Amino acid sequence: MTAAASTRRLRPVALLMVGLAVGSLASCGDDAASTDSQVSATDSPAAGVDGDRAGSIVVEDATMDLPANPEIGAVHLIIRNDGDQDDRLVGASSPDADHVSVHRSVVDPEGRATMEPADDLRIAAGSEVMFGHGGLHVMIDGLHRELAVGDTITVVLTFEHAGERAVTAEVVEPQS
Amino acid sequence: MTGGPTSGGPTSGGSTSGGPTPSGLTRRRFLGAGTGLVGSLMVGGTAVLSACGDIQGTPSRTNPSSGFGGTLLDPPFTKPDVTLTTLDGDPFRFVEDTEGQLTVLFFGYTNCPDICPVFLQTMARAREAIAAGPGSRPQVLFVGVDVARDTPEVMRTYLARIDPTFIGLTGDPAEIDRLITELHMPPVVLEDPAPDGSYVVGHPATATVFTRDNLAHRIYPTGVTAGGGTRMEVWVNDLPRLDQGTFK
Repeated sequence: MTAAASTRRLRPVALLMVGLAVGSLASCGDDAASTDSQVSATDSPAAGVDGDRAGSIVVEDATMDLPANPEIGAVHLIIRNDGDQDDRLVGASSPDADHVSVHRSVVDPEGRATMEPADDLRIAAGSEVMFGHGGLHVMIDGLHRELAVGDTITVVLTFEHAGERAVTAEVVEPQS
Repeated sequence: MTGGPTSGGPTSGGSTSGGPTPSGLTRRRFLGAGTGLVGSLMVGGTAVLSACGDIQGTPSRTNPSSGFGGTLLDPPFTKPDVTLTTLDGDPFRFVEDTEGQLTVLFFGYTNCPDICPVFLQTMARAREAIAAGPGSRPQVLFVGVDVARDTPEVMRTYLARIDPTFIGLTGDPAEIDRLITELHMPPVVLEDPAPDGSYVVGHPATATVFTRDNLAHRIYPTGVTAGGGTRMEVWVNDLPRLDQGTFK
């Protein structure tokens, strides 16, 4: 939604991002511009820039390092809440893998690296949450096919208020 | 499978009780106010960003006074006398099989999507950058701590995609933990599986570098840069000097 608003702040590499927005938008009351129809992020006449600021979630810069384990990957992206209502990331799935979860890499006080679930991740109004190496990531488990650099996978993120966002993540050379 | 790796260590009665899983306790500790430097940095690095955070700008943890990264060990660590297993099933005698070689020891697991591949990729790029001369041929040991899933086949595929010169090792979980704890690192944690079968693995977030004198003079954090890790440039600076016997 709010394609104009999101485009305005796109980064140079933000070309592979929100494919489409599915589901309903819940507004926080003052801007009742929710819609139940599928709306393309690139063509959303029903969602004017000023029409649905509440619960307005944009997902961009989605990439996945070429996996070393052919079945396991981590998608990194940025979730931006352009609205004036907090939202929560409550689910994730992919048609390209068996299991998708949201994790955060942490190091415990004893010096042990591990991951912890990041369920119901809050996306505060007006904030941007970065999923980057060594932090939050969308863990992809059980990839259905072997991937090469340049391939893409689809990840569907579900938000409490904004509904679903289908995101296209490009497979990139692994970070070092 | 969850009890295996810690069975060789001082498993306490409390951690085997039938009540709340010990893993849950462990996880809650992660969420607590960590006092460890690395832990604090890591948690900070994952914080919600209120604006366009610039993780590229995070400084490396190089000690400016010496130009070395990581942490100096004084006195240095000696090599634990343990025997692991190569991917061909042969014994890997740690002391004998690393004798006199620049050796980077790292513990991880192949279902690790983030920290482990980034560390190994960083090491692979550092090797390429050093190219020739001292420090250009470190023996990089990747010990798979998730022994049920880190099979030789999976380990081979995993390392071949990163750097085929890296040496994958597996072994008895108790022996792996002995190696870890004798190097003053926390033992492996394998949490109980979730209903979907997935489970959390905890492994030391530190790489230990042994030098030609068969001692470890420095250790390095293995998180990624944003979370307190070691940048590729630090390895490129340090490995040649370590290989030549300069440690600080």
